[in-house]
Amino acid sequence: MAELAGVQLEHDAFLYGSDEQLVTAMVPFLREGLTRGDAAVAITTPGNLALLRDRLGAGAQVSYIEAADWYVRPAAAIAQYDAAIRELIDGGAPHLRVVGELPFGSTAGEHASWSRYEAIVNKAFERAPLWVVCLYDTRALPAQLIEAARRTHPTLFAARRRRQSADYVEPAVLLGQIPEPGLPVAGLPRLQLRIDGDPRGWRHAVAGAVEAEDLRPGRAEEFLIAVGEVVANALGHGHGLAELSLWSTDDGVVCAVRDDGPGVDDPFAGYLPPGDGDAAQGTGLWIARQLSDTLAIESGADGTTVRLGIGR
Amino acid sequence: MLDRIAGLQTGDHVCWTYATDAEHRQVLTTFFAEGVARGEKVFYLADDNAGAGRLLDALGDEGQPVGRLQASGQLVVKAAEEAYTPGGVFDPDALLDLVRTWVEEAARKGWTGVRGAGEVARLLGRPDVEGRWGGYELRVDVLASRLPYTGLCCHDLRVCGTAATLISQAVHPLRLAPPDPDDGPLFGVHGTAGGGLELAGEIDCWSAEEVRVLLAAVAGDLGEPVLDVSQLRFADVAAMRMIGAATRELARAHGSVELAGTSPTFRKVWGLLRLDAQTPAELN
Repeated sequence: MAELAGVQLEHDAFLYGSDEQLVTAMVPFLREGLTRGDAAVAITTPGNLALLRDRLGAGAQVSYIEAADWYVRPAAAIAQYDAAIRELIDGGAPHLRVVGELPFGSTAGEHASWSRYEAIVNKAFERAPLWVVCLYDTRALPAQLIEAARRTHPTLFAARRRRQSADYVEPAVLLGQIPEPGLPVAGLPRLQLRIDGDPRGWRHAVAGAVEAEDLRPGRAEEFLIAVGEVVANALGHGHGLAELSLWSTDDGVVCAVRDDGPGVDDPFAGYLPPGDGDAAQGTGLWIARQLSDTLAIESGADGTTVRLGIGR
Repeated sequence: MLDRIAGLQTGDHVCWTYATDAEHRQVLTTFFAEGVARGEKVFYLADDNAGAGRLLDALGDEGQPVGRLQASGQLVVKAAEEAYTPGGVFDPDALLDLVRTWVEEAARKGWTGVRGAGEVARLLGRPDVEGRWGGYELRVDVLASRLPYTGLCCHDLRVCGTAATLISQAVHPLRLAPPDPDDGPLFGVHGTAGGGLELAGEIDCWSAEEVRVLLAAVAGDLGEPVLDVSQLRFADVAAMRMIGAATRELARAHGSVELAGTSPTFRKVWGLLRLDAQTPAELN
């Protein structure tokens, strides 16, 4: 994780109900950062970027990024922030100030994923020189997302006075309250294998099945690495045996790896960026989350199933 | 994968697995006849006197003037065990020096190169050789790629079995007639013509340590600090970390290292693991 001694993440939610409210609060926030020598970034919708750019003026050294380019997936957004903060530290800027607006999507699963992401940010960057204000448009977002914002942000931003969020929930607790969305599949799997320590059989079978799908260039290769990391974990936890199933769906490919081990205790497993050392703990799952589009861990009495999916 | 022995070039280093006397005779006579025709000094390291005799007879049957070739010094036949473990000791450094000396002497005497075949199956079972054989063969490969040398390592599967040949297969860029390609190693580590190394195939958490040992064995022999990964089809986190550690080791000796032939996926995982920040390597 990108971190500096003596600094601490500031993670606010700003609930706004009009363009004027947005501009009135965020323009001074970014300007203050620039005055302090911070790097300033706005990551939001094209419309809000235009509003901020217009009010801040052409000379303001603010980086404007479309949210759809930055917040592609929760795991990828964490990696993006991590890389950006490291670059910032290397470049000597004291702090990074971000105005960010998540693209929450339209499904309950997407909402849950991004709310979980908001909680994970508190842990992943707890010692990072980062102040991020997350925009929540109360005109457009459903009530449960606004409610989740109060639980996932320690602080609520306001133009005049920030205040602690009374509803804030510790990230590890919140991740238990909002489960990882599953990856539903229907019908018989295209591939089903018992696997052991010899990678030859299952890896070549999965490679063949995934390469037959019409995925974007390089994605089959990435997915195979992701599956490999999950299998290695399963064999490690599941007494050297696991079961792999693979479905071809309308959207892409879903692979499930089941073992009879107790599962993963750490609610942040695979979400936290690796440090600079060579410690391998958890890194496989980090890579698996980065190289797949979705990854869900389900643990129960009869074992643990990790499902990971990739879109076309 | 070779489908025939004819047409090898200097610098080639072949792992050959065989299981019958007929193929043994056919491959060796072709290999040596081609070397003789090219004006190369040729040598054969035989399992025993009987094996040496069978080769000389076979060459004679094929019309080679065996007596004249031996008298002129162009054809040399020795016992493999004595050559590989003189005095009973397996010393890779000494063996590599010997190969260099042979090549230099052959060049001084006007031969166009050196071509050697050695029976290694019996050696693979020796406890003092087993764990070090891959590293030795990789060093030979790196050396051979820069010398007018053509090597054929002969593995009699009736003596050593297929499993014992996997590490040999992994460190030879060329393989001739393995019994079943699916029995071959998943990964390969080879010397390149420029004196660097090539990683090939699939490296994962099950094989990364084995590859690490090979890279450590050959680190001091490289002519250029280049690790070509263009033929690497699969590398998981353990493999990437191993490559990172090996690269840092090479950088300590050579100052900088080039990772050549990196794919977009390789570069993506390299960055996600923060190996870019930890490793002084140029990725191309």
